[in-house]
Amino acid sequence: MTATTLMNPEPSSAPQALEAPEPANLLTVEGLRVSFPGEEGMVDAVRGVDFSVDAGEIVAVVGESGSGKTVSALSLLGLLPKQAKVEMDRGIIAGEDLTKARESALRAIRGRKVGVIFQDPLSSLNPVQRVGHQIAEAVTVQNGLRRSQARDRAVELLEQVGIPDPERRYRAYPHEFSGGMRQRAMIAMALVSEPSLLIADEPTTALDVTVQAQILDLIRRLQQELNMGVLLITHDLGVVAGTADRVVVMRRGEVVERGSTADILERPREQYTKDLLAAVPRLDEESHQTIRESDGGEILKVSDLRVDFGKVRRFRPEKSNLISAVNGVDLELGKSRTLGLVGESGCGKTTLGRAIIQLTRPTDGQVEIGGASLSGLSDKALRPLRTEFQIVFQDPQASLNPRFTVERILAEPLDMHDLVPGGPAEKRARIVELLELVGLGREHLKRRPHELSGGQRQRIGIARALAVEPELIVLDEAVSALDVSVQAEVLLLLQRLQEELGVAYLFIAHDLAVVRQISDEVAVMYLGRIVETGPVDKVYRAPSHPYTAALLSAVPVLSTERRRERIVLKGDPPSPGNIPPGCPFQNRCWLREKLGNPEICTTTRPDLTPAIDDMARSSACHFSGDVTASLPPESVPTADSSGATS
Amino acid sequence: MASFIFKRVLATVAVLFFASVIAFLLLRISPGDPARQVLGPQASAQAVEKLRDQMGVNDPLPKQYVDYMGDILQGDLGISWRTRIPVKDELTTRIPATLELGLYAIALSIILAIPLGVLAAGSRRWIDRSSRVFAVVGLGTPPFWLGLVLILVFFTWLAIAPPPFGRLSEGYLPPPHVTGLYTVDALLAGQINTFFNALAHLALPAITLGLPLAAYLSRIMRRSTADVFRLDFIRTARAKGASERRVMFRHAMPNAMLPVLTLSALYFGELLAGSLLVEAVFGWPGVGGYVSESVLAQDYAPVQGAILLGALTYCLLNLGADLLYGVVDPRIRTSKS
Amino acid sequence: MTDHRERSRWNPKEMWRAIDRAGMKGVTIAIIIFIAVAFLGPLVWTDSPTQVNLEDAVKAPSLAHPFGTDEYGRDVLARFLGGAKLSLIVGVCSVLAAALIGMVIGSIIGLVGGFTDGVIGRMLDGILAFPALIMGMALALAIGPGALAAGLAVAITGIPWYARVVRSEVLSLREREFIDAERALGASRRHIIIRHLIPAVTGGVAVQASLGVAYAVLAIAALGFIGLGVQPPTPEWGAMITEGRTYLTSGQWWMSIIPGFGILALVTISILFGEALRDHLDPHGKLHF
Ligand SMILES: Nc1ncnc2c1ncn2[C@@H]1O[C@H](COP(=O)(O)OP(=O)(O)OP(=O)(O)O)[C@@H](O)[C@H]1O
Ligand code: SF4
Ligand SMILES: [Mg+2]
Repeated sequence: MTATTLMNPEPSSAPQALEAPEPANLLTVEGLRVSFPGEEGMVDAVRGVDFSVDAGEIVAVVGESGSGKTVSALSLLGLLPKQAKVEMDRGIIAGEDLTKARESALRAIRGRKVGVIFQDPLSSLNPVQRVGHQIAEAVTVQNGLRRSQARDRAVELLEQVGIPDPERRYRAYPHEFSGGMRQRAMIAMALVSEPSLLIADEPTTALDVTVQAQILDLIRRLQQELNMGVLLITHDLGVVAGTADRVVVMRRGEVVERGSTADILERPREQYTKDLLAAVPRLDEESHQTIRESDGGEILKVSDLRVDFGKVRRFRPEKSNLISAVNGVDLELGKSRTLGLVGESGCGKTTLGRAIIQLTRPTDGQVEIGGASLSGLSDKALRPLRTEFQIVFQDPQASLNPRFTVERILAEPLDMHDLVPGGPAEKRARIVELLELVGLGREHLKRRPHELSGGQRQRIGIARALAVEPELIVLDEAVSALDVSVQAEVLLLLQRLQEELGVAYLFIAHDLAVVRQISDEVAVMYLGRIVETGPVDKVYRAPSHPYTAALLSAVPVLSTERRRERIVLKGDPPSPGNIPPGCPFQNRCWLREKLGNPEICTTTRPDLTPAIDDMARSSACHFSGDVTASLPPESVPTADSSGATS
Repeated sequence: MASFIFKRVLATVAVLFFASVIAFLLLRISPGDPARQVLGPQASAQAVEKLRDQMGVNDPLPKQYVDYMGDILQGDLGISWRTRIPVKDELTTRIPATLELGLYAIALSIILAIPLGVLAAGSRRWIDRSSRVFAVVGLGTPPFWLGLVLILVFFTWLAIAPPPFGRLSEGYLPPPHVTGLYTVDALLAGQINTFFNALAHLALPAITLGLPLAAYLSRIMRRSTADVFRLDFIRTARAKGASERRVMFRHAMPNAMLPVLTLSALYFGELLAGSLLVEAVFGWPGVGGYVSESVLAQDYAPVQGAILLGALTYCLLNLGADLLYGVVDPRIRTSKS
Repeated sequence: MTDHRERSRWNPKEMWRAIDRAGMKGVTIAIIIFIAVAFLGPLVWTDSPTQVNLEDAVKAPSLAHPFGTDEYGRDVLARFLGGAKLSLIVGVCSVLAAALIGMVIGSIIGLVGGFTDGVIGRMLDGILAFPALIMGMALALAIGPGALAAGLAVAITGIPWYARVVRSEVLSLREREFIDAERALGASRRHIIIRHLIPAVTGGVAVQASLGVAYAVLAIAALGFIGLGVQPPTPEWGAMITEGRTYLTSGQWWMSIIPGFGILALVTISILFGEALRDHLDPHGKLHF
């Protein structure tokens, strides 16, 4: 029980720890080693890791993909696949000596003394069992209650984690829940017997920012109510900043640095931690875009674009499943400029991007690229025009044909449009040139996608798009799947390419910080519409739509001071299938509530209108002028960096 | 759910239609003259022509098809010219024999395959290896040949099996008819000796028929269980503190059984084909034997009747499996497409 | 995996190395041996498979006749070798035909989708209701028994399986982003099908096809066994088993039992090859067999 002090000489700064003079140690592990059988002998995933968690504190384990954070945590409870080999010098979890514990002893701890929640709540729930039953099962397993009692307890837990209408939701199946509700259900399941330790493995990674904020709040609230210790595993330093008391930074199966959250974030000692922190795009930093004169004219002009999915059933209207994924969008993008497009999952960002380059045919509306109207052109007529505009996808693995070599992948666009006159030598020269443009080289020519890292794959995707020398590239979450450090590199690459080649970007992302860093302008999308646009710094500094303000406020920032009062949006985004009359945002709008529910919000749909004082900005809110003034006093998101400017 | 069932049933009707057209066409395009077969070589050309008209053989094919299906829907499967017995009657008396054999084979294979498949999906390598050998050999062994090998060993050499002919040995009378399954009827009538004799006669054919099925089932069971055990919710169940047995029976099995269910239904046709062969080997008085005798005698009506019946059962079974899938898996029945 | 040099596709040494890496050395050797036995065997063992010699009828295995003789005094080894060649040729040809047709149908309905997919899909399901043996019987009645009827039956009943494999593969490929990337680059539909879809589905089809050969060999032998397969005197394993059957109960086993081992061997090799190929192409298991 002394290990904590050994490993963490500085007293914990968590307020709970101060109140309880001798916090009970819940978890101590030293010299943890985990290896898996690989193609050539055992592969070490974790190589001698120590950490500890006391009652009432949140300890975060951070690291990039492959750093071994999940494996470390799961190994403690025997939740790894059987072929994993786990060793440790010392290990105590909930009073049980792990070096001696057998499977049955571990099982007795799981769920009872240690609760676990996982990254992907959909696949972590049994698809063929009702959610309520799965929670009730945990109750039965843990407390041996009878069926009806277990049921009541499960309903109570659902209520406790904030699921509305728990009686009815008890009977739902996992696929009928939204992502946030699924994660709430998982938390309910982990809390069945009020464990003293909660292990949360990337609990918010699969969720939208606004939902992430809700879930983190919930975890913190429950942690305080139950005085739990929490081991929080995450790759997101922003999540750490607002949540954890202590941090352990991992890299390649080893601990790089440990300390209080404040120390790690503000006074990191190790170079790796410093680099990691530097790579995180920050919401409170001005756009990195060099201010360039918009050198004349638009490359992209979209007007009243609509994309519908599904169909209307005239005779059984209740069976219609028409979804307006994009519902009347107007956009403009100047040459060599970047427009960021942000919004929560399912708001129609991807669909809009695909409709612009005619991968999905719009139902209605106009798209003009480089002055040429694309609407109504046949596939064949479009083909030669496609050299003007390209796309880069989110998943670099899926967007490259796995059986092609890099050379063949890059040769395709050249062949298709006869871009390189001359023989194979010229073609290869051009391919090498493209590779060098994206920071790769000749040595990558013969590789296949699986022989490249994630960042390298995305570079190939970018090189392929550049091969036809387009004027516009749609980047659909092009950096979202990458680790922060790789993400930072790719963002720099994109900026360099824009400067060199003058290409314009439509940069689609859900990460507001990344968008700020790369964009000149930003458009915020909600339920298939643009609700706010404008120059990125202005919008971020003083949002003029309550949804933008809420999105910005939900983003965890890299600051330890928990002084910001968040606007936490209630509920999930409604489905684009049934949009209420009036303002689409009304049921989640905090401003409307604050203004005393003015009637106009529910009767009249606000159009995207330019602001009176600044024609470059537009907002679709009847009360756009009131947004900034109505924000909670200290929640102006950029207060910490640019207090003087606004 | 209602629309899910409706769609499945509609699809099955379509499949049945195509299957019946295939069955119909296959035997109508044959060169043999059914009227000539009925009347024999001595009959006059006029008589044959007259019968052809009566039988509708001269009608256009679509009309023949409609007439034929009309008859079938009324339960008329035609008459065997070889035995002069209506096909329907012959089938009714023979179906219980085939059913009994099939049921024992299925039971045997399930008992063998499910544990074998589940164990093989576990961690122990040698079990997986041996189950694989079993599966490959079981699938690779021609059932008719396996039957002969079993006869050679257990009847000819060891002389512990009854002679490979029929459902009961000489001197035994069939038990009073209730279900038509001799083992069941014998027990119902309290005729223990008859029961054991029927069982002894069933043993070798049931093994012969059940072995390939067991091999197939164990393989898909193994794969399906292994797939499910890789899924995240299994880890969740463990994290709840559920025992391995609970994880297995409450979480893994229901999910693992889903693909097994549909894949087994797809195998049913093979089971029918297998029973045809096994019945031929063991002189089993079931539908299979009837079909193979009729085929060799170019007796069309029984073949067509049996084929249609088989296709019908096959389609209904697959419909059943699909519906059951929908009942067990909520994602299927609520998905829109 | 780490070898990035230009690889010549048809260099036997490289091919062998690739087979070894895929863990398919054993099965490949077995296949080569089997083919050698079937095609070169008759050149070495020159007894006639059809020469009747009643004096030598029903002789147990001996040096002169290692597998014994049948009721007409024909050499069982020679007939066995003939049967091997026949099974191999009919089985492989019918499977190739089925795979080709199934591939075309499967890619069409996978790409077109909608109503066409529904109707053709149900038609294929309709064919699935007939096992090859039943189809073979019906075809034997319709066009006369023989290698053609047996092969046709195997080919027709095989089509739905290949079509299914290809259809589902095409559907999942259509969702893959690299196909979208191709379209965004301006690739024509033909280009996408020829360059991306077909190469991607061949693996699944090859797996299905080698399992299909196993199934075909069994079906052809079963047809022979009930007397509706390849007709005597042509040596065929299933028919050989039937012919020897009457002697079985008196203990003269070789006529029936030996051809069965041939079937077992060929079927097992095909299954093992298919499984090894599948494990190599799809180590994490999407396909079932
Ligand atoms: N092919 C389709 N058929 C029917 N509905 C679709 C289709 N594609 C998208 N949708 C629906 O359209 C809406 C917008 O989807 P879209 O993928 O454009 O969102 P997104 O903003 O890109 O989300 P994410 O951040 O998750 O990528 C969603 O409700 C989605 O379910
Ligand atoms: S119009 Fe009303 S409901 Fe809509 S965003 Fe503005 S304040 Fe909120
Ligand atoms: Mg998207």
